[in-house]
Amino acid sequence: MRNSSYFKMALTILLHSKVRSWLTIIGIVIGVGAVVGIISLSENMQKDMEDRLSEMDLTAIIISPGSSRAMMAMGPGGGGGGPSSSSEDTNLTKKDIIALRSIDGIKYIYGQISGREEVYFLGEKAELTITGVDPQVWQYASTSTAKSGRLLEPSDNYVAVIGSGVAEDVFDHEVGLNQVLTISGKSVRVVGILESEGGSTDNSIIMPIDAAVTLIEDAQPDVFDSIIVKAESMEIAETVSDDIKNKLMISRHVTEKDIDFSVSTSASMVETASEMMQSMTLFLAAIAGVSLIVGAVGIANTMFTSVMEKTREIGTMKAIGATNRDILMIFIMNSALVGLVGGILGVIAGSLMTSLFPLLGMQMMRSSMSISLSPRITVFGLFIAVAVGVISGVVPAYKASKMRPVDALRYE
Amino acid sequence: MSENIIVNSVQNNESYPLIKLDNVWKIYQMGEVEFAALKGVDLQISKGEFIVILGPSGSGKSTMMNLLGCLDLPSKGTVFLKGKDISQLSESELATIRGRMIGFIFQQFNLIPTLNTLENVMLPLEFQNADPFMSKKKATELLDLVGLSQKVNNLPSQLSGGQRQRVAIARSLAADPDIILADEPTGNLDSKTGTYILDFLYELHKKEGKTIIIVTHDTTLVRYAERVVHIKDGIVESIEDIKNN
Repeated sequence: MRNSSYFKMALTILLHSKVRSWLTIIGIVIGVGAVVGIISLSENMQKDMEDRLSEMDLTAIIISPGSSRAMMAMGPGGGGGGPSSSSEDTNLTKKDIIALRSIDGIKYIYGQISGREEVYFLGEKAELTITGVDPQVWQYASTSTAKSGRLLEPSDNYVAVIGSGVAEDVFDHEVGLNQVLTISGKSVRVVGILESEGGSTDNSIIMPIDAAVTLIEDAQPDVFDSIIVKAESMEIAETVSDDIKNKLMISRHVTEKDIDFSVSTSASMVETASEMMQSMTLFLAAIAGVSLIVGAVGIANTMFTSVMEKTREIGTMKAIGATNRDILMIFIMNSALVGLVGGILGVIAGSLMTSLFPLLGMQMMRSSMSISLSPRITVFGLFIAVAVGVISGVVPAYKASKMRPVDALRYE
Repeated sequence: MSENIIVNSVQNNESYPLIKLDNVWKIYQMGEVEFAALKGVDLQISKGEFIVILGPSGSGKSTMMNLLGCLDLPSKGTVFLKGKDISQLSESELATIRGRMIGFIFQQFNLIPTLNTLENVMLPLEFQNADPFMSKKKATELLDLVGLSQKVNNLPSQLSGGQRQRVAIARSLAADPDIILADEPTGNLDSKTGTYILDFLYELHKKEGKTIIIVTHDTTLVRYAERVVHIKDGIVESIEDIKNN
């Protein structure tokens, strides 16, 4: 029999199949939809990550107290919110900065403090992150740029540069240049508004550290929540990071075992984030895989029933000249078609799901990002579906092909 | 391809009788007991005969039909098809031989319910890799011959019993087989339609020299036969020649 005839026979069987067999397709639809959606999501997140990476200042190295790694603490601006992981009995101080000054390859180094404080503006109140930086270094070291106004200058005191989010979204009234915020009873004049960067910097208030110390509760002079280092180039960032670690271990009299600070490069943080993302994707893919298996079992079950129902037809076909191979091919083709239909519906479901992700507020992605299924994922989804169809159809089809014509014709 | 060579050699071998049963036994295992459906049957059928195999239910006539149609193999003895022992053929060789040499007509019509009339008639040709265009032409001609040219696109469920059996006849003729093997062809039809079907087969036999084998319990079919094989309890009781038909 010709392949086109197999296809035609398989198609007529599919078109005449009962509602019950269409229901089993749902398993495949969900499985393929989930697989396609998850792959598409992770690819988009990967792309987003790469975009951020390309914008990111990869020369940044962040030193934080405590042995836990500082993660995701730095926005793309590099001068944003500090790490939240700090332990009470270890501090980073001016002494550490002095100890590090001698390391080669460091372009800038400055201490930074941060804390959340209530900020008043025109009678409204909001809790915002206040970041204190060394104004002299920060204006050069930061990748942030001012949308209006200026960055901090060495002579600044109770003035602030605010993120675009603070300016536009936090308060009912837009915060403009030279307007005054009240923080811990002090008046702070806004001298600059930063460009939106999509990171935590958007929602923080950046001030000279000497002023910030007086505003942030628990803050002490010359004690930092983190030390920000800029290497001279991204190539040597890793080396510089190792040097910093060794140097600080000596100056702080600690060993690898009782280390009380951590050093991470922005590149390593990106790596950690993408590792996390990958394991999450893997986990979700495993769940999708399970639903594909369930779908496969469903198809196999329907195929067995279908073969049994068609016993007489199989007998007839064999009587009028169908070989075992003909019967095998017809039923495998039928099962592949069931898979294909499930796959098409699954890809549609998957693309619907994908287009819903931004609405669900996936915070790891930029809101501006548009996601859609790539043709490659679509083809992959269909391929998976057909493969599942074929695999689950093999055994029932084989059973059908091996029926003896006499027995099959006698079947009631 | 070797399969084709074997099948061709069987099909074109004219020096032997068409079908020969030689001391054929068919024994079924029913749990612990054995049941012999055929007990040493000898029968020879020549090309161009119109034969009725007549017997009550349980006589072994269905078993005989299965062996004559190469649907089953004997437990003992030999079935020769044009001199070839069918037990020596592979399953797919047997399938191909059935497709080319034997046209089946069943009591239950056995049309494929998901295929329309035309597709049902084309099916035997498709199993033989025939050219789709030629198959369609042939099937259309045959449906015209059985008077169903208006029903080519109908599904079997939209046809009456008589119409279905005419489709089945057209299908049995599609591959232009030597033998038409009919199992109770009128069993599910009223007598008028049954007569039409039998007249049609008789015409076919007279005009085209087809070998017609009808297996039935219905004694009224005997009047078409040239030979009647009476079978009972698994043995051939008598063979009756009715030459002057």
